[in-house]
Amino acid sequence: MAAPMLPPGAPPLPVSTLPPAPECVELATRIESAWKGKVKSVRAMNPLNPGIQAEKNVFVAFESETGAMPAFWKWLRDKEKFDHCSVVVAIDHMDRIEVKHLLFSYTTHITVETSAMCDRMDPEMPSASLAWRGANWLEREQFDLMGVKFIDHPDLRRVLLPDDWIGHPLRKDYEFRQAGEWW
Amino acid sequence: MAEMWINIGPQHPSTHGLWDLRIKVNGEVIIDSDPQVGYLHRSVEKICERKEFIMAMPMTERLCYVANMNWTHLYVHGVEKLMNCEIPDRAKWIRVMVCEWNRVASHLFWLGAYVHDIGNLTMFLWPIREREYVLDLLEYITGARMMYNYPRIGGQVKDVDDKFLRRSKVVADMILERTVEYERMLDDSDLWGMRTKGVGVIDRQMAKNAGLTGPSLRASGVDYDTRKALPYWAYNEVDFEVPVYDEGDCFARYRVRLEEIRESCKIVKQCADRMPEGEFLGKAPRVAPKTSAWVRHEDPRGESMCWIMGTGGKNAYRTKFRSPAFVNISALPLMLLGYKIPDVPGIMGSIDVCIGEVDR
Repeated sequence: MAAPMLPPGAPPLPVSTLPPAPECVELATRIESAWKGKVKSVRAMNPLNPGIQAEKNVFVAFESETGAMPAFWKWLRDKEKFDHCSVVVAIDHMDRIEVKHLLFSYTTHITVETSAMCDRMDPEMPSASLAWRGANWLEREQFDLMGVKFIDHPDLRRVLLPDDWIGHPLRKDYEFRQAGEWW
Repeated sequence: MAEMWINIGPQHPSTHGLWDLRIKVNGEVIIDSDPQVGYLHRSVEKICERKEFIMAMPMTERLCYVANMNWTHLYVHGVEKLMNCEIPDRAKWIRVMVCEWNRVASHLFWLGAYVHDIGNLTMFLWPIREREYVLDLLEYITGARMMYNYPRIGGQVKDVDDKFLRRSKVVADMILERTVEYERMLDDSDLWGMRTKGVGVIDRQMAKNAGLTGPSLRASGVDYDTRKALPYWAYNEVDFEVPVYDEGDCFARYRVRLEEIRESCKIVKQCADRMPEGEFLGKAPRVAPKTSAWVRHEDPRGESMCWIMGTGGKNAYRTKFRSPAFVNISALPLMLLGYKIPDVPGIMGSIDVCIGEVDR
C-alpha cells in the first residue's frame, strides 16, 4: 500500500521510535526466508506506545498475488504455533478492497497481520477457515457486509443480513435506498 | 429413527436474546446444528463511519447492555490508540476499576440466568441481589444504571471520590464472601453436577482452532488472558490470577467465571487502595490521522477487538468490532454434537451469549 495522502490540516501520522520486539524480528526473518518471492513485504512493526497497550506485531503483505496465502496460513499454524484467527477485516479503499487477517499465537503472543488486495468489481481471495475454524463466521460476515468472496470457504452464506438482501452495506458506495425501504 | 430439524428460538427462554439455534436430531441425539443470528443487526460499524468519534461512542455501549462499560472503553481505547494519545495515570486506574466492576456485574448476571436455565430458581435470585450493589456503585459515579456513557477520549467524564472507593471495598468484600455461598449451593448439588459435568465438552486443540476466547477458552485448559499477556492501562501493575480448568465442560466454564468474579473483586480492592492522585481527563485531539490501529481487550465474554481507521478528520473511515460471543456461537455446533435435547439449554447458556454484540 502506498503512503497515505494527508489532507491539509490533518494531524501527522504517529511515529514510533521504539524498536520492534526481538521475537517479532526473528519471526519476520523466518517468514522472509521461507516465503521468498511469495510474499511482497514482511515487517516487524514498531510498537506504538506501550502506555496505550503492549503489542507485538508482524505485518505480511501479499498485495494482489494471493495464491500462496492458504499454504502460508497452514505453515503459520503448524510450524509457528499460530492457533487463533482473531479477526478478519475488509476495507473498501474505493479503488480496491483490502482484506486483513489478524492471526494470534497463544504461546508467543505475537499478532501476524496478513494483508491482501482484491479487485473491487469481483473481490475474491482464499479462505483462512480451512486453517482455523474460527475464521469461518468472521469471513462469512465480511462476505455479507463487504461482498468479498472467499474461495474454498465451506459455508459461504450471509450471516447477519437476510438471505435475500441486495448489496453489501459496508461498501462506500452503498445506496441506502436500494434495499427496498418503504420510506 | 427419523431425523428432523428443530428450531430452538428465535423466541425461546434459553436463547437469552433473539437468535435461533436449529438442531438436527436423530431421536434425542443431536447430529448437526446451525445457529442463525442477525435478528438484531443495526449496522453499528456503518453508523460509526458517519458520526464523529465522540458521537459514535454512546452507541458502542448499546453493543452489549450487560457489559457496556467494557464496550465503550474498548471503542474509546481504539480511538486513543489511533490518535496516539496516552491517558493520565488516574484515568487508567479508574478505567481498570469500573471495567472490573462491570465484569463482576456481567458474570453475576450470567450466573443468575444460567442456573435459572438449568432449573435452580433460588440461585437465580442470589447473584442478581449482589449485582444490585454493583449497579448502585456504578450509578453513584455515572448517574445511570444501564447505559453509563462514562469514558471520554482521554479519560473519564467525571472523577471518582473517596466515598466510591470506600464503598467499593465494602461491596467487594461482601461479594467475596457470597461467592462461597454460591459454591456451596452449586458445587455440592448433585443435580447441578449431573446437568453440567461432562456436558458440552470441547477439547483444548479444538477450542483454540474454533476461535473460542475468554472464560470458555480458559475452561478448556488454555492459559491466556489479554490482561496478562498484552496488558493495557494499569493491568500490569495489579496483582491477579487467571483461573484455568482442563475439563472443557459446562461445569468448568461455570467455575472459571465464578473465580473470575473473585479475581475482579481483588483487582477492585487494589484499585481502591492504590488510586493515584491527579488528572482524570487528559488532553486529546479531536481529529485522527489517516492510519489504522487496533486494540484488544478482555471482555467478560472473551477477546474483544476494535479495529479502526481514520480519515484525517473527525470520523472513522472504517470501524470493526470483534465480538467474542459471535465467534463463540459459531463454535456451538462442535459442543452440541452427540448430546441430547435436554442438554441444549445448558450448553447454549454456558458460552454467555449477548445478542447485542453478536449482531452489532
